[in-house]
Amino acid sequence: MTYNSMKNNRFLIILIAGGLLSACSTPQAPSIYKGEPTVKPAPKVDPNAPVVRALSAPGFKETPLEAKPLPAKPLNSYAPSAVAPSVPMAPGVDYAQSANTQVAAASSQASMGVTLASKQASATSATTTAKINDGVGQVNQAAVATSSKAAGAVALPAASLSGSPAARELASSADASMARGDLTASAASLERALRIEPNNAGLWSRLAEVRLRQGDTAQAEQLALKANGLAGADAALRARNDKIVAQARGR
Amino acid sequence: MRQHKAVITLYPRPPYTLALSHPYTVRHFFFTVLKLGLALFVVGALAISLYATHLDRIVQERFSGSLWALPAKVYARAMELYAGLPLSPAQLERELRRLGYRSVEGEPRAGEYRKAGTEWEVFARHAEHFDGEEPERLLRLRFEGERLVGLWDAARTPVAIARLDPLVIGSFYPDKQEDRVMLRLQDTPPVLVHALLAVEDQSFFEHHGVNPWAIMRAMLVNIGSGELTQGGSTITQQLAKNFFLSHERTYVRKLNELIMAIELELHYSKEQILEAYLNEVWLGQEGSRAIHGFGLASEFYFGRPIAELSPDQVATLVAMVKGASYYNPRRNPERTLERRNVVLGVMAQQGLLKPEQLDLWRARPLGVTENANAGQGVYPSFLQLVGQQLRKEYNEKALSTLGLKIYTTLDPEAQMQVEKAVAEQLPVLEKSRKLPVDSLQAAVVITEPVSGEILAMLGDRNARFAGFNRALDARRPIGSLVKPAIYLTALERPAQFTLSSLIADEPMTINQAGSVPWSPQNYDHRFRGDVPLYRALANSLNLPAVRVGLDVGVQEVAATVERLGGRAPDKPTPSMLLGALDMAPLEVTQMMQTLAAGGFRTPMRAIRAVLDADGKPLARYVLTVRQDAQPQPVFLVTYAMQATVREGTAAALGRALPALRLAGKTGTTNDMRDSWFAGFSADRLMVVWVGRDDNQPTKLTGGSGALPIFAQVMRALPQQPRPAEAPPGVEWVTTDLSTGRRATAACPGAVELPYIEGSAPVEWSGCGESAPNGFLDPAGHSGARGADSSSNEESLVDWLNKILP
Repeated sequence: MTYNSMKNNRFLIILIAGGLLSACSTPQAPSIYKGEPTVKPAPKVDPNAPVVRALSAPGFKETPLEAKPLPAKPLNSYAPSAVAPSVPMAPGVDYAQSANTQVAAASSQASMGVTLASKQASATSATTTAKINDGVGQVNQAAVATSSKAAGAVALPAASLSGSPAARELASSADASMARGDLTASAASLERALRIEPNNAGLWSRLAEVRLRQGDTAQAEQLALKANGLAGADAALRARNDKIVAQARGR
Repeated sequence: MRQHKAVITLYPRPPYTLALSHPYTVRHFFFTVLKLGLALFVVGALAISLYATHLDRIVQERFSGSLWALPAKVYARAMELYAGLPLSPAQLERELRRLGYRSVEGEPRAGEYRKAGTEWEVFARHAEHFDGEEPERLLRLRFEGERLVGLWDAARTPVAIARLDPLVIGSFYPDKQEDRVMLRLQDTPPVLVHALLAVEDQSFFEHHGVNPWAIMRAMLVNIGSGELTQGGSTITQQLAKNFFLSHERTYVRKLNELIMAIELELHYSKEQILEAYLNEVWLGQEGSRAIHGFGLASEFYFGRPIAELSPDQVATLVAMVKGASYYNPRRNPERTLERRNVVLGVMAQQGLLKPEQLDLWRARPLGVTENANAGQGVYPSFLQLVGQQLRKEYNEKALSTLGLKIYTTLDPEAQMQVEKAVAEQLPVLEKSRKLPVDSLQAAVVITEPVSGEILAMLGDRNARFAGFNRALDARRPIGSLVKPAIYLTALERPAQFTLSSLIADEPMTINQAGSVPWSPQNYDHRFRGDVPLYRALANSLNLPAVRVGLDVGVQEVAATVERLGGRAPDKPTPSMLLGALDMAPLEVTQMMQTLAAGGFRTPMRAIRAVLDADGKPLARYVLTVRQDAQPQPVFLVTYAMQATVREGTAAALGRALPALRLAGKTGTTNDMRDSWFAGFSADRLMVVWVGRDDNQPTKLTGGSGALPIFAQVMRALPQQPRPAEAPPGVEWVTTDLSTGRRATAACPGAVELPYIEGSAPVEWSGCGESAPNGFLDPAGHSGARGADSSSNEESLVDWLNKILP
């Protein structure tokens, strides 16, 4: 063998070795669609983006609350200037479950393929109560731990069940969800019912309780006030709403 | 390769090697050739294997992760069904037709309904909502007039509440506008799979990606014709071609296709390949939107999910695989029909159809829907608002690729009624006012006061126009729509103002520092002396509004406007009291929303929830309320706004729709440039603006321009009347309007009015004295009817009589 042909062969050997290596390094085909869940695309949500914001049209202005209801009603108390300003309105708020999803999605995305790290990240994010605040809207991170603690503090009489069969069915379903601890589902059923019966005080009162258990005291108070305005002669329901207002303010 | 050539040229054959018989030379030559041949073979094999590896990586990269960029799908609100729902059979049928349900005579199956007078059977589809699933089930409905009075399931057990599937109203496309509805193999009708394989690739489950016999057959045909036309492609090859390669016909591409097909088969199961094919195959084009996959094609051509297609419709889709533009059933129906019948023949051969029924199937028309863009681009104004919100929270790529599901608040029926009313009314108004054709514009918003959900939005008289959205962005002076805020500010001081407070409707001049004195006028330039406060609002009198506004303070009124959710100038001037403040219709809606909801403000929402492709919630937009005004003064203002509809500037509306106890307010601006109407029932709030883009006078008041549109839509929408009950803390007292004092019911000029407890008059009037002027006499108020409507009320009444039975 001449030197030159040797040189040739060496070149070939390197090529072959390289080719083999590259062939071996091709990843195993992941199974798609079926079988065990494989790499699902992490929702590519901008991790910096706020999770929820109020729906606002251009120029739609959120002004600070100036009127705050007072229990007693002297004649001059109807003017808004008579009351102290309260917190700015937290609109379109989104609760625990979705916030966790977002945090988990963001962290698993950040750890790009490093499976272990990603698993840890989502595991921790499920237990941490992160608070995401973008200044406009905020996610009220009432995680399971918080809500169960809140549930212990809440001792409310059951709200009366009135209205049409549809509203009663949805209210019962909301009660069942609340008993299970699924406050998000409970709130969704109540909102659905309220679209059918907007003036059903029992529904408003239930929604106030859900928000109280979720730790959203501001909304709990407002919703209980709304319920009180519609409660009419239902003294038991009024007492229940007053209790919610008191608990919401007491925190 | 180059290196081998170099070897040869560097060692030219010496002259003596011509003597081939020399043993050494022969041996040397033989080895050289052998070595060269070997090297060439190895390099060639290596090159091919490297190339194959390269293609393999492309194949695997494409197949791993998500196969396609899935545009976010936007859904309308789903129709709820329950006993007691105000819903006419016609409204239900329109909704069912929008959803692609078919009316049948026999037993309905999923996606079908049967009418039998007031008894209906609707076989609702399985549906996924953001807050739960709805099973596929038969629903039995009973109507009484315009109301659904009963709802049962197949076994006639009462159903408390059910939901129909939500209508898809749009998508967010990526730049490459591929659209598809993902279809899983197990959800694909077997008849479709069998028909597809029978027509396109009979030995799909036997071959290994390539069918040599088919290729040879195709090559013979190609050699015969001299062109590369016949494919002989397997399903796998077609998938490889669609996925990775250009559509030009070259031998290199064909080679790539073969290698990739084999690699696909090596790595993935037949089922995976088939499923990918079902979703990838191109089946049509609509503008820049490419229709991919059988799932979307079924909805695109037949307006219903694939599971509900009949065999002849399946055959049409299979026929189109050969060339979706050549066999376009809308553009080339005869050609498509011919090929569909060929496919039906194959299906019969394969035992997919009963051969004796073949002629029956062949005799059927193609049955494609006329409207290709079902739900696409139909609601541009509303989708602008949805997009505006989504883009704040998700980047463009997430919206166009992740298959997000966006559940919105749009009510297609309300939207349809708005579009219809605007399209019908504007030409009539233009004609009656002798305005140029198409010179008027309109913007409309409808919401549900309690939830703040936006049910309908129109930003241009052309409902399909996706440009400037006046409902969102056109800020116009609101005219008299500011008056409820003035009187709310006043009524929040019950010690000072009640609904029966007498306000002087007399000439006045306001001296402002740095500007000329201002003498506001009423619309009709008349003065009425002392007027009860609620009638000053109901009749939209300017002088009392200015007087009260100055009394409580312009700054205070501006604060009320903002408190309710409107927009007020930083440095308000007295002219603001007559509506010199600009707001977009959506902002006006928010302001009225707070009044309609009894002082509880709810931010308006267009989106309920965003879910990811797997149905996990990413965001929920929940109902929030905040008490921004006390319910009692809000109730008083609402009472005065109901008086507007009952006896004031919108009295024609009250006569047309008395049962709804509507509250409303007209708004007209200087020289009649803007015509507004805002009003609400218990569960529907609507704001209408009519005007011109060039800001020229329209010769329309709020009562003659915006009101007819409002009336037509409100009449067509199912809704509940405003409850008459007052909130706690309000008492009713019969009042003698001429004195503002307590009276008995026997007093002829007395009216029962709501008062905040403790503010009602205590002194009794000596009723029987005649009223000082005609305006205070309820029996004689017709002569002093509302400024906004007086000039054109008769035509409105005529018109309302025409459209109302």
